[in-house]
Amino acid sequence: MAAAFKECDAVVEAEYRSPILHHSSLETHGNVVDYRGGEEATVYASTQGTFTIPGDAAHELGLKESAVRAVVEHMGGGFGSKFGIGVEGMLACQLSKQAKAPVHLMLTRKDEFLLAGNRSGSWQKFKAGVRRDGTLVALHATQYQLGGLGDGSQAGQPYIYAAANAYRERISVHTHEDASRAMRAPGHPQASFAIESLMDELAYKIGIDPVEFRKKNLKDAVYHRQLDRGAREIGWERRNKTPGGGTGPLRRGMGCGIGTWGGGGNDECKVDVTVARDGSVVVAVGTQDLGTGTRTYTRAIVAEELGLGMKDVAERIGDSRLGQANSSGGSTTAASLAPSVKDAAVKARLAVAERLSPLLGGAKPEEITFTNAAVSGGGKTLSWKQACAALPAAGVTGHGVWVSSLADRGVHGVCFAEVEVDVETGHVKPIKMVHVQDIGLPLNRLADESQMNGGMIQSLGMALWEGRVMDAKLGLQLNAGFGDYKLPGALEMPEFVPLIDDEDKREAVIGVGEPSIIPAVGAVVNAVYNACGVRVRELPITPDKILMGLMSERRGA
Amino acid sequence: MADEHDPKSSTKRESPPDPSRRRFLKGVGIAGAGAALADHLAQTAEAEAKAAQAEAAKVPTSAALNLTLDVNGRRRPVSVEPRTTLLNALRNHLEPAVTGPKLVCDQGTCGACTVLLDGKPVYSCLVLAADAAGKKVTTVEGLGTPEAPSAVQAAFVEQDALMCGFCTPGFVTTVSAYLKKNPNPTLAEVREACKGNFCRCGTYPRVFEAALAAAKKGVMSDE
Amino acid sequence: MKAFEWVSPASVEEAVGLLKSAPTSREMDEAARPLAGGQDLLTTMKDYLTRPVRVVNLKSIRGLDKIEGDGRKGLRVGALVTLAQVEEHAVIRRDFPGLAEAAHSVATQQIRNLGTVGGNLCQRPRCWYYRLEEAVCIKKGGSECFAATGENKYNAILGGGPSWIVHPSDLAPMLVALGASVNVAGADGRRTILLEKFFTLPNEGSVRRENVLQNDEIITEVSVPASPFAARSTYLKFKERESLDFALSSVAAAVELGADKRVRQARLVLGGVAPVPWRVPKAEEFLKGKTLDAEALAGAARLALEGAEPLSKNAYKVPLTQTLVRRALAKAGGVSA
Ligand SMILES: Cc1cc2nc3c(=O)[nH]c(=O)nc-3n(C[C@@H](O)[C@@H](O)[C@H](O)COP(=O)(O)OP(=O)(O)OC[C@H]3O[C@@H](n4cnc5c(N)ncnc54)[C@H](O)[C@@H]3O)c2cc1C
Ligand code: FES
Ligand code: FES
Repeated sequence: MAAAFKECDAVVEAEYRSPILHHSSLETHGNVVDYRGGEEATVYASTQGTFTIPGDAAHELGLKESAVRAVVEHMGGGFGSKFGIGVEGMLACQLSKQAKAPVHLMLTRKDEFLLAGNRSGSWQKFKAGVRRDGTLVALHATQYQLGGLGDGSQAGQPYIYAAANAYRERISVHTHEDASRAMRAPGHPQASFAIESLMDELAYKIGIDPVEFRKKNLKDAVYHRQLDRGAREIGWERRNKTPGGGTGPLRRGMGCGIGTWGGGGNDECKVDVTVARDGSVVVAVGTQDLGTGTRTYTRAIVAEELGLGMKDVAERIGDSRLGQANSSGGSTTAASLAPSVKDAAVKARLAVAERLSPLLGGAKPEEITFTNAAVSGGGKTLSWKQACAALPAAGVTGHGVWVSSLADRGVHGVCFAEVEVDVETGHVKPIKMVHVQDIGLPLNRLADESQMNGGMIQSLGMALWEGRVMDAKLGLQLNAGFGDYKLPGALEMPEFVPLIDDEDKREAVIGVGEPSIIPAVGAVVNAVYNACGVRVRELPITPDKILMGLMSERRGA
Repeated sequence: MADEHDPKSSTKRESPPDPSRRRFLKGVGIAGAGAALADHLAQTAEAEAKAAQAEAAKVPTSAALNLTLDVNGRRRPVSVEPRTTLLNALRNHLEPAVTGPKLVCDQGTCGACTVLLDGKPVYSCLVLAADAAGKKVTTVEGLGTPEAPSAVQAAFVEQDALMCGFCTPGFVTTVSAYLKKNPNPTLAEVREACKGNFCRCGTYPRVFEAALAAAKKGVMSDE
Repeated sequence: MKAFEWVSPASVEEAVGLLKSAPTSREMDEAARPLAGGQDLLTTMKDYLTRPVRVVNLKSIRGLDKIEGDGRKGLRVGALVTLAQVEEHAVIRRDFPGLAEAAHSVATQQIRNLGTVGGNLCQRPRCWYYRLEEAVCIKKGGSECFAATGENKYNAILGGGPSWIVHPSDLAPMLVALGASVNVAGADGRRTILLEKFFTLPNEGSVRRENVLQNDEIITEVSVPASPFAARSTYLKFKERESLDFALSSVAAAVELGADKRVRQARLVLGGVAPVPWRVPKAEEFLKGKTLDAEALAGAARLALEGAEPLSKNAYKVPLTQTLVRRALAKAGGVSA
């Protein structure tokens, strides 16, 4: 390493810190455990995994797993913190067992901050060097994961970049704080924030446009096209050429950041699509909807396959009595579930077609078409109602399983941010954020864009306001509530431009929930630097840090 | 949640309701029923009952209060302790419960519990149920139904202004009240109106769009 | 929250009588409390910071919710007037614009629809050590202000010690600047107190209180005198999070300008930086006879923060507040900062 650093024309040594963050789902963790004695129980859970509940509950209640039903009609957000029944669920089971009565137990907001998991903090130390042409030559990273009693998580540095000489060590530092849990793209926003800050510092130091600098050090062409598109969209050429340049108290600046995520699906979902003789269609699977639109695409895929409208199909989800499904973690729900839904729908269509073949001049089932609530073949057309009347009394059901070719993994995301900094107060006003994301085959563009908006907004929170504050002597969290743990609100919102990268031609489903929270943190941090010339290396970037930065700069000058 | 099931409670739950008040109200009822000029007397009786209630309210009590809440145009009798919040009364004491307003922070910092009190948005977690008696309480359920949604509710669905949906009742309620006050808002005004409602999933941009779309359609027309 | 006795008196006399007659406790946080909008009291009760044995509902008292007068006669605002009423009141907006701005700057419409003027002045501090049940700090009967050496970025830079809270009220700095007084009723009679004398520093009186009110006293009315500077008043509040936050720092300013555009009188009060609304007479004096040019604004800003003693993490409040002083004065005087 030492030799490699000698080759470098510019070297940056820097440390970046991000605090512990809280999922802050608006619905706290909790359950209604309905056990009134006897052999069976029902648990109404706020969970990301319908099928993680029965086993846990059965264990507490002393029942067979198959005797416990989990119901998850709706749930108020999880972001990675809601798998399994948790201590709160265990407690509710014990109480219900002793009382032989239903028990409703939700954590209070304060409990939620203190024992429902968090995103681990990070402390990342770097020494990195580049050649004059911008090539990253050497990088040494020491990464501390601050996960309390847990290990915490952090993607390994140099993250998406490559350096000819790279060394990293990752260390979990344990403290007497509650354990971290998975939180939307575990480990990635921390890693992306730090490396994107570092790349920016190197680019400015060597005097190369930060976008060009990144391209220079990224081989994957997808990043190149996304960077170009994002730069165009935000108007990168308008950016402050000298960080902190300009006159008057309000200074605008732009920055960018990059992220990657795996995602992908698994053979875990069993879906039934049943067409009844009265024409009603039900798609049933035990999966849960976290607000990500699972219900909508489950229904839409079936409607499309059968040539029906959304209103003609009903979905039943969120029930462990229905077909097995995976938990919603790692952005794997859509990629696991959608192919199985499609498979079930295709099988149901073929089953219907088989029954209709005699009525449609013996047309081959595969050749019978389903469009506009009508079924056609052999030169004949039946309305959906007429067609279904020919089904057996029990209707027909397609049992769907996962089709690997319909799912994929591996995505790229680029975010650009523009902010305005008041250099006399330290106030940062987000102006605009552009996020370009490849997601394979978009199932629902509106919902995909909503996910991207949500990712940008949570990144904004991480960049500018959020973070656990502990008192070192008392060992107490000082901001275990929404008054002092500050989520961004309506007045903090910039203009959002979520862009699905349609040059991604993969005809396969990939999740978009997690990728969309990764690159924006770095983008905002770098935009703040570009606007006011202060490099804040510890999140969140609150006004005090900017003002103190400006003061020490002035003292330095 | 801090409520009457609180282990730190020092209430004597067995303390009886104020007897003088009961007897007085009963007396008024009988007098009213026996009178010939029913209307006039009923009015007097009501006024007297109110006066009696006011008189009774002047005696400190830690016993359960028998209140009548006006929720979405329906009179809902409920018996709660003095410390029960309106939010708690709606969600946990009414039968059937009114669960649109959500308990999220219990500290006036999120807006998920927003209801209208005489038409004005307030945090129902920071109102005592006792203080809501005699006022009109409107929750998201009172604005429209799944079958016949209000313009604001419909716009939220159309614009995908919800993800997990937990903040949504609060936003819908806030926006509905605001559009009554200002039927033609700018984006900046919508933001200002929404600043007391927080969303973790990140629906803000679409909430703003929904509010503006509902305004365009004329939110007044369906109410 | 702990259970309490609930009572809704019909008159001020009954109310103060009920406060006085409540079952006594030696612990002051358990004393009977008046309840107005409840936007602060319920939050402290839910966190067990206050545990009143009796809650006396003031809203059942008639006549405390009126706004009377104007810029010529002076303004009288009943203690139960809501912040929403203040911000929307046409006469206040015209004759006391800074007061309308201060009311508007508070929290969110949901809170302003219920929160009252009296409750705003008497609300308890927001220091996160005070607000954390487990931290028994000096304001809750403990022996130490944890903020002194702890996480003190939000705490006082002026007037601190032995507690470093900042006063949370947004109305208070503006009302002090406007020379307001409060009418107070107690079990032993009524008194009028100049608002500037109403708030107490931690080293004056009890460190556990923020003002001179006795347990059986309530504010019935706030009166703002007619003044030559009320019409040129403004309130500037800086928040870490624009949507919902208390002031990191705020400035209430009011100026009277002569025909020559020179300052005849100025009032300058800082919020969010001291345990009380922090009036800065030196800066006010300095401004007399000056035109509000950049130099005068900078001079006033410097003097306003004279004597500031930041803690380990709140030195930023000095330049921040200086900016706000300049901007507020410029706005009040109708010039650019
Ligand atoms: C999330 C949140 C954010 C807030 N943000 C701000 C802010 O930015 N700026 C700000 O100024 N405030 C803020 N507040 C505080 C807010 O509660 C006050 O502004 C409000 O005006 C309090 O009035 P109230 O009538 O609700 O008081 P209450 O809660 O009824 O009373 C508050 C205190 O005053 C006492 N009291 C009430 N009335 C009287 C009276 N007439 N005489 C004597 N004592 C009385 C009560 O016993 C209690 O101790 C915020 C509150 C919350 C919950
Ligand atoms: S629950 Fe009432 S404001 Fe959060
Ligand atoms: S939609 Fe989930 S919190 Fe707003």
